[in-house]
Amino acid sequence: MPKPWIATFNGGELVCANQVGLKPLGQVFGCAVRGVSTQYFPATSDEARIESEAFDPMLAESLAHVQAEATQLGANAVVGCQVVWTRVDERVEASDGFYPSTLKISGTAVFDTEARKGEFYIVPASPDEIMVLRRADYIPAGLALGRSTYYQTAWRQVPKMTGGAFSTWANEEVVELTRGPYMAREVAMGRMADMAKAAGAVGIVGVKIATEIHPAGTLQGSTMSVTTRFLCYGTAIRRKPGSIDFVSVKPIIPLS
Amino acid sequence: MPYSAGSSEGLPEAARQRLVAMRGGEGKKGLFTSDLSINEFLLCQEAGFDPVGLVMGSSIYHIGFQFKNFYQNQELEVLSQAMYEARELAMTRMEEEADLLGADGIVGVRLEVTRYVWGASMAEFMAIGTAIKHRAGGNYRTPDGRPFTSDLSGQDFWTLLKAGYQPVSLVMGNCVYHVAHQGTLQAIKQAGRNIEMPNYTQALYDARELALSRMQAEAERDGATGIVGAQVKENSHGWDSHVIEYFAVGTAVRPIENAPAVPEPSMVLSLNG
Repeated sequence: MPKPWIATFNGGELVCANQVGLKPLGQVFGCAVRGVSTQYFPATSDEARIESEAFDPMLAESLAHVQAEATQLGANAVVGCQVVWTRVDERVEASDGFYPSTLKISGTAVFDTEARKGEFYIVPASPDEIMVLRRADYIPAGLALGRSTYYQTAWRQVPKMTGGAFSTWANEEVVELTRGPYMAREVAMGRMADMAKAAGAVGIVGVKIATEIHPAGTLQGSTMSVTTRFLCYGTAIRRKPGSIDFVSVKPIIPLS
Repeated sequence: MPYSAGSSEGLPEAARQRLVAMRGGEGKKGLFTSDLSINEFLLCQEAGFDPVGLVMGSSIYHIGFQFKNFYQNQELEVLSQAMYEARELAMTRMEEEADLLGADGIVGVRLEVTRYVWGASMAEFMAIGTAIKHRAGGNYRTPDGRPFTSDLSGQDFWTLLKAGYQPVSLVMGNCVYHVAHQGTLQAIKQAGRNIEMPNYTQALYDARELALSRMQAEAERDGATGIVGAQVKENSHGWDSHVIEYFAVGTAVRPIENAPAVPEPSMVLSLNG
């Protein structure tokens, strides 16, 4: 007797998976950890080069793990995938100037009866979403993901941030500091779009975002600079070949 | 910082690069990004709108100092202004991003306020949503030329349009209020009794009314006929125990001319919980 499979699907999702020809085979997981050294007081605000260079191999490694686990189960796709990118322990950074950066990807491996032979895809979309997409002549093309670690110095603004004796009493924007997280998000979203474009997608739907902002350098208890880590990912979608320009859906207004 | 047409002030360099790359051109559509779910995405398309990109604005804001009288109910104007201005900065930047994409408006707007331990007197304000554009053109912008904004989901957006209304702008009003502490004498009088505490009632009532009336004033300014999905949120954002912010937010709407009749609701038994 074959082993029972594990899936995160609820009842409705299982019905949709069945409808759309996705056979659940089991939970799969991929993970990569890299030691990343922190950059203290770089002269200018910019992307944290060391962490940025470490990320792409981490992504490739965790995706390869996920694919290897899924292939072993006889799957040709992973759906409902979740991505978590974090530091293992934020206390390490301040003391050692070094911390482990971790990327985890998990999802449910499925056998997609409609996929082309030799094709393998990993998407955050769940089976019910995939069913709706297919009905509307779209195909899930893969995971689109972008991230950035952006380092921003703001030493000129220290008095405003601390609220101490040198603090200004006025309402005002902290211009230098605003730029850091904003840049991180924009750079990451640009990369996510690039990844989807490379997969031949027309767009990305269901984008999820995660922001982490940490002080990177302090002086006498005041934050002098911050590091922003930003991650966004969604499902890249393609048009079904030969589909007409627009497929009409028939929404109804339910009495609920 | 109010919106001025064509301006991209306050946007970082990376934003302009990203948005220009997404815009497409020469008759070719660019790639879009969107935090709409798949159902929302298809419903927007069904309503005639294509998503053009995820847009956002953010601001880290230093909140000034305000004196409060321990025994007095009062609005803390400095804090009210700070919380409003910072949200407006974030909203304006998001609108500028949508304008760079050539969008008609933004749906599913979320406004988030975050405070960090490393910056005691600051808060980060972020606005994020999906910019959309009508396939056939048409005037969906606000009277002063801003892209329309709305916190409605794709489902609500579709339903609103079918009901013969179009969103005008995400309107908001806020009020940070200091609730007076009770005097000792009053506390003794009340001991062991069921009794209304009029100064507390009055304080919270006032604060809520101020926030609501400010939201309404914004809707009137934008020429709207009503506000849908209005909510009043309360949050103390880590301030002292007697300080609270009421934040009223909703989507101002106006009727569409010559709108078709509203479809009849049908009875559906959904299998999805």
